[in-house]
Amino acid sequence: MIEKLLDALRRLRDDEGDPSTLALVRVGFGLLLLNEARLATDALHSGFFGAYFHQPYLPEWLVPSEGFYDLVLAAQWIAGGLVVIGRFARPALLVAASLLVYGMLCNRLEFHHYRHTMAAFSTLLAFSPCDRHLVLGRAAVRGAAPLWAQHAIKAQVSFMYLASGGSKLFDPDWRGGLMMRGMVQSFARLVRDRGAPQSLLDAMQTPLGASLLAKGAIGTELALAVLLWWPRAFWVAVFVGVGFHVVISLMTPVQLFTFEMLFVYLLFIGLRATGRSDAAAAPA
Amino acid sequence: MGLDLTTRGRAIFCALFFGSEVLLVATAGLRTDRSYGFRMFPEASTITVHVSRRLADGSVVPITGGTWTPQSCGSPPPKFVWGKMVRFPGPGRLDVPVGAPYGVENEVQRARDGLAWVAAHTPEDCETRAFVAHVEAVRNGRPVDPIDFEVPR
Repeated sequence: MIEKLLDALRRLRDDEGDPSTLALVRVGFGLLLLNEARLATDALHSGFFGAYFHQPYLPEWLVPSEGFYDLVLAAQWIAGGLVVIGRFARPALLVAASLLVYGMLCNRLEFHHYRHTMAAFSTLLAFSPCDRHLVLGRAAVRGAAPLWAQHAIKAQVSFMYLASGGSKLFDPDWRGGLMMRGMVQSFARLVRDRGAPQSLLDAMQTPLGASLLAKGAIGTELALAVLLWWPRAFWVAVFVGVGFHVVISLMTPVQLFTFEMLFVYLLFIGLRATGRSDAAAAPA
Repeated sequence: MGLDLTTRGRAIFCALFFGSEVLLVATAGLRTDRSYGFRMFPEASTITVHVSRRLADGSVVPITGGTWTPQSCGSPPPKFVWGKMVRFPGPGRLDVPVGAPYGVENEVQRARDGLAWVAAHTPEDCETRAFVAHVEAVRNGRPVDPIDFEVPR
């Protein structure tokens, strides 16, 4: 059993295939990283965060001054731009991810799960051959390339689903639907404005409706963590996963996380299309 | 830049990367915001923060409308606005429910740290000896016991 598992891991590590989808996903993440730079720049209009209440994880002397923060922002813009155009894209992904984490460590109030996952995906993407296609001013480099980092991104997604679904499963308020009921209540106006009928909203706010919704969300996350690796269930998993994230973005203000997840699902589809990687992903 | 790893490098990188993530997930409960633990949508909660000022004579004066003006600190008296010093996503408004998306515990910590920041950054306030907070919280639709704390200056 352990030998079979190690064998499967070895095949994932050594797998090679067409890296063209990685380039597409790199551009997508580059745009998201540029958007992060834009959000941080916009936030400056109402004042430098260090000039009012902030919650650093780091010692205060490691929190940038206003002048140094301008340089950090400039680096964020440049790194995002390089990721999009493909020039020095891989080091730029690492720089952008590091700056995102640095920003969150300087001010815990700026922590968001989507930022954490963006940093994680960007780091993994940096170790993939995502700069062989879609590079400004340079022809594509044809041929097979290592896909281990692509598999690592998939493992990251499964890990996230497992951690998220698992924490909800062990939380009685989540499992029982209390949290879901409160969440639907707080976002009811938003969901109504997006076209959901009032009767559906009412149903979701009943104890039974909220409980079913919560259990459905937990079950979906835990199932996706496994099904993405099972070749026979792959397309079902993609369909359910994409639907799951689209529904979340319709029910909540969460948008950027949805974009991230749609990009990584695109990566999984690309991985599947290469054929060789599919064989590597199959359980031994 | 050495980003094309050897097979051994890939294994070491993955062990470090996912090992760190396991560590972060396992210790998420130790952080009030459960950050880096992938605990999405942990609570649908709110808190209401009421802040008062303890003066030198021991009396407690509530801050109303999020502003206060110490009368004995020179002319013109300085005016302090809570919402200018503690901004969203911190508890930037007093006396009204504010969302606690990362949970009651985290939002209370934000209020406590916010109060400490204000205490440390209002040297012109010669009157206030301490800030006294009374926090009412609703966790996932159910009221929880109020939380009281005091931050000296």
